[in-house]
Amino acid sequence: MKYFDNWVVRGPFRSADLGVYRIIFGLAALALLPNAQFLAGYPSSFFAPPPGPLQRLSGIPPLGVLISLEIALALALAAVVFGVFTRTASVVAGVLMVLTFGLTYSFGKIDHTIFLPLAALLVVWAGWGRSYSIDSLKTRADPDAPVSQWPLRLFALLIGVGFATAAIPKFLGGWLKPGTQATEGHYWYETLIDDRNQAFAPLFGHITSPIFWEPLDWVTVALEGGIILSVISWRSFRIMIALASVFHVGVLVMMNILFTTNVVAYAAFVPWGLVLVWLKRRGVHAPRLSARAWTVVAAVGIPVLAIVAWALAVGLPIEARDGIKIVIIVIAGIVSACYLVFEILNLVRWIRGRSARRDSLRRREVAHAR
Amino acid sequence: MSKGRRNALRVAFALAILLLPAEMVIQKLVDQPYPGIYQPSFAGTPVVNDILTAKVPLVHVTFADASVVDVPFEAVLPDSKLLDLSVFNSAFQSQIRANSPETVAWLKNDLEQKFPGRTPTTMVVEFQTLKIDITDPSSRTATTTKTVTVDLQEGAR
Repeated sequence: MKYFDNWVVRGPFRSADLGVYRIIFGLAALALLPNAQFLAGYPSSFFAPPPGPLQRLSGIPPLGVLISLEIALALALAAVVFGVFTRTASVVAGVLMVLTFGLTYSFGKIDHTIFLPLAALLVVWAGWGRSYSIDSLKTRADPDAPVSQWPLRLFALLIGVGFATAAIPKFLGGWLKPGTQATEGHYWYETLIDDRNQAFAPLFGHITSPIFWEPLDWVTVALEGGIILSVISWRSFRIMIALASVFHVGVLVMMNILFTTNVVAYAAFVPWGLVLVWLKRRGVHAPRLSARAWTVVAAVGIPVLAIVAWALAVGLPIEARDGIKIVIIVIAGIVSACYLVFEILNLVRWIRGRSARRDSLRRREVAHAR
Repeated sequence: MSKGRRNALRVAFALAILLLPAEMVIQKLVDQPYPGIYQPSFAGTPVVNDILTAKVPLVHVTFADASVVDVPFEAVLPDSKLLDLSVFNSAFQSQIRANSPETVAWLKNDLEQKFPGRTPTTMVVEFQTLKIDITDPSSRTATTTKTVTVDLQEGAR
């Protein structure tokens, strides 16, 4: 158990990493702000919440309540961005996201966006408000003090659990049988039945060889089932979520399915502090303002940011909203691909170093024998 | 780390691990709950021997002048951010739910706006099992497996 206890609290995350992630998370979540008010256009008899607390609702909440939920969520996320009452704002944002998403999932289909609110509800306890926040200006917290690592470990484990719930039915449903080509089957379903046949998707319809499709089934099951196992080490977990981000780009290109909320959640595990160091070396830094000036900026910025995000969420056409999601997924894919290349180079260096050490040892042994 | 905190973390992680079998059992026995930590399963495969099988609804609206118009099921629903097929299947799968007074009143109003000056009397939903040959997607066969009729006159009274 001692190993387990140490494993839970061991991690590479620093206050700066989490502070930058909090800002990125808040901005991305504002860009993905759910639009719930369109639900008022349905008759209440369409409302069929999945098993869970939403079944306690007797019908679709009135339009005023839906709009209030959207605005409250936008305000909470804007407060997260600026780091004002960070703990309260993060928990409120997480709960409101669960609720607002849940309302839109009460019409026959659950979209799997749960990692996004989970990030707000868990990473906050690691201390993501300790750096680059208005709260830190008030408390004058030491930005170099160690942060709690267990919330990130727990978050990683829950991401693994989430993906395992996808891997197990695939495994039981025959995805690994050589004759199935399940990915191809779902590709055709999405293309012909759900009309997800835009952009690059039609190109895949020309590929009929199982040599292309069958390995995709195996890779999918291995990736989804492997994430929970990779939680054992931070390095293996980061490699797996980087692979997952690249995988989401593949799903986007092939089937036009957008796993945007997932990649925003994975960003919790990026060492953002290193990016800041890199930027500082190039003379890029936040404006140097007094604590009082930052407080004024936040007091103005929070409502402005929230209202702009809300107006875009309800006013932008769905194509533009999808465009934002695509940009987020592609950026995540590029960052992840770079990280994977970095890890491959590390591996190559390690192998070369190992063989060089072995050669040197052999030479020394030969010299010694002489 | 204090003993209490250590034990709390042990319990939290144990519960997180136990969540996986618990979620799988709940999904199997009841349905997928919300909130829940799930990812989309895409279990099985809808294509067997190059034949894609899917269930799709066909909608026919009959008007007071006895004319019948085929309407794409998406056109019946309001513009939304949701997947129309899922919403439609959920709302019109059962005869009882499809004929609930709220649905009927809303549908009647919706169809009257879509077809100005005409009075819709019934909407028939044929749920078809569609088989598409993926080597030639234009080759399709359809079998009606279920029919749901919404009486727009009776229910709207």
